[in-house]
Amino acid sequence: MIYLGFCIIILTTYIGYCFSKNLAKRKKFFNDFYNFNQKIKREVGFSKNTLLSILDEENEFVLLLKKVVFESEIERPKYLEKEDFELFINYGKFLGTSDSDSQISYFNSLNDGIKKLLEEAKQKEEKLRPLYLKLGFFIGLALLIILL
Amino acid sequence: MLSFLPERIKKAIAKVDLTEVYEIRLRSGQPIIINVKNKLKSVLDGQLIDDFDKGLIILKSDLEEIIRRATEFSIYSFNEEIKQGFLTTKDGVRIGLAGECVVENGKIITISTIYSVNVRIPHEVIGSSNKIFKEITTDGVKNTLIISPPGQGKTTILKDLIRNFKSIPLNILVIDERNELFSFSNCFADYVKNCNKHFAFNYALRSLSPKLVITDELMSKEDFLCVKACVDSGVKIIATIHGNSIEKVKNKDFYIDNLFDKYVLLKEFSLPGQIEKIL
Repeated sequence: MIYLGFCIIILTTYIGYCFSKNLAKRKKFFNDFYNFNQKIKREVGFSKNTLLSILDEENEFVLLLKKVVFESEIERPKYLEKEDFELFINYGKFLGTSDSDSQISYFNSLNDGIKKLLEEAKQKEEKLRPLYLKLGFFIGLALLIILL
Repeated sequence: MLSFLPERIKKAIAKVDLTEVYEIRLRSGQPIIINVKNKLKSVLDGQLIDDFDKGLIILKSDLEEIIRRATEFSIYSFNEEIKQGFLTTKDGVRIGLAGECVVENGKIITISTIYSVNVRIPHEVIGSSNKIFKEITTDGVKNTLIISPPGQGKTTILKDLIRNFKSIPLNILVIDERNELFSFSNCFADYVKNCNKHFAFNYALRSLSPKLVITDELMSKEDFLCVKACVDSGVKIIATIHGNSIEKVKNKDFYIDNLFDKYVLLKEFSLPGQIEKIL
């Protein structure tokens, strides 16, 4: 019975951890998004490198962005909210479609918005991550008590 | 080389021998037209046909895809070329563009809504310039102007001439405004690509100290003044110009006399690179 109880607590805590992981992923996504937006402003404005060379990286954000730019449809990752995903899709679809002046003014117009979303994702993670873990643990504990 | 074409067009021309194709003209809503050795054909199910009405019809979306792919999904990177009505892919394929010009403060800022494109297939005909090379290098390199109407092989000849110059130890500067002259058999020269002649002549003459400058398509008074500055400073020049006779070229209002020692006139309505006369 103690064995079973342990397993239940580990399982529910793990579920809580999985939920909290999405918050961390969302924060990382917006952090990468913000950094990419800074980088592409330089690339488009100064060196005028093509997207094929700018997107020649293997990190998760760039791989996702590549799919938006070069492929027609992608599935929304679980860690992104619907509005986050729409913003990201519009961003990807606009990349490379106009001259450098309009590209740069578009990147500038999004800069503050992405920063705000990053701050919000950070706060949400700080607030909810321990909560999900605790919730998972206590649900497991409650199930164990009921079983006993 | 034609990786920027949409799949259905690639499939349609898959069996066509590209070594014989000079141009592929694609107009929105019209059948594809292929210039095969100066004879116009269309294409259906992979076969060249004479009846244009039965040819594969080009869609607006085909042209949009061509522009996206040819610019590597990066219009901003090619906009200076697009403003001048063309773009050159990384494989050296020149695509002429026709569409609506967007004008701001009297200047063209881009061409939007492309209605037709003309894909010029580059050819490297090794040996095509041997006769000219011999003529213009006997007793020292001569300042030379190569004359022909569009599509008669000026660029092909020029590319092969550059290759031939490998046998003469000279600092050669190639001003390659439209990124068409580079090939792996002539990569021993210095190339200045994708910038206007005026800028290239000014900065490259100072910084690269060439003994011979090779450039394509003199089009304006400014181009000729650049050539004059070059000749006056003792640097040899080989250039091309549009025209169908030496006299008509000399009568152009931007032409400057006494710059060239040799004139090469290419044959009109024949295979590219055929010589009419050398004067």
